[in-house]
Amino acid sequence: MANPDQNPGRGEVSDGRDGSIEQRREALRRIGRSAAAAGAASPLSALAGGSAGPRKWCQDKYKTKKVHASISGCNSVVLSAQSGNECYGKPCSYYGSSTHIPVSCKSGATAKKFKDIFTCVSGSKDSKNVTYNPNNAGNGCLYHKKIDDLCTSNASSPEAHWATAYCNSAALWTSDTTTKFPYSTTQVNSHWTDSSTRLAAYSFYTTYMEGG
Amino acid sequence: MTVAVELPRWRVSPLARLSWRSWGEDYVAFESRSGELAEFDVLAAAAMACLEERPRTLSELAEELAADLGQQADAQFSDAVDGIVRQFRRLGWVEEIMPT
Repeated sequence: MANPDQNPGRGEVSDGRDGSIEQRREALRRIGRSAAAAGAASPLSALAGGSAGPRKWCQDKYKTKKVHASISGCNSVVLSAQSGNECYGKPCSYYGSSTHIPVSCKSGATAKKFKDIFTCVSGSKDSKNVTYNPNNAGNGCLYHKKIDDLCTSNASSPEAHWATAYCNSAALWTSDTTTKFPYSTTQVNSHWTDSSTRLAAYSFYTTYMEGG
Repeated sequence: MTVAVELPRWRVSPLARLSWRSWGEDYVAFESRSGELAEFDVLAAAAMACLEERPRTLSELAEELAADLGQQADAQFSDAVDGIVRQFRRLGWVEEIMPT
């Protein structure tokens, strides 16, 4: 069969274990025995609710498919999706209204600037190829724009969609299994900062995390 | 007079060609005729394993899976199993056998 776990970028290949009939039944029995041994509550509701594993999923913005809610897993279709495990995010246009911007993305009543939520390096260039100078807010660099300005006047820029991902994270991410957004604001910032993850993360956020 | 109502059973479609692999509690099934690759949790994977063994009604399936867990099926669990079978039916991997 095809190998869905290949990750050439890391040089690691794992084709998993054979999922024979007996192996699959035994996996379930093992969960039952573990729950009993731990004196845990019935595993039935946990399994029925789909919380037996990391089953977070999301839909593309056209609602045509359900996939794993992660940057590395969004190419895997999820069919055993449970409603409580859906992740989602608001579209860029939503944050064009300052009233929708999460409190942690504001300074007082005003939306923060891109440079205030992402780690912007002096001398780097924005998507319009304008050099970022922390001391020169007047040169048109998008890093100096406020979130709501980006999401209205510059909505087609990558910066607007990164700011959207950040706001969605601020509004929806929690550190427990009830989270509705898969990454924390710190992780979103890291995805933007790290050139090796930036493109894949941007694709994930704009395809799957702006449809809500 | 009491009339016993026989419920439909579910079986794996004779046309399905499935291969299963596991990664911990994650399962992936590949259907070679359609080329479909899908991911499932442990409950769905075990449900399909039961149907691969032999056809079962939905209640039999729920009871058997619950027994694997050392429990008795409740309504929520039975609904979840029902949903799993419906997903497999949408894929064309299982089919209903109506009582004769």
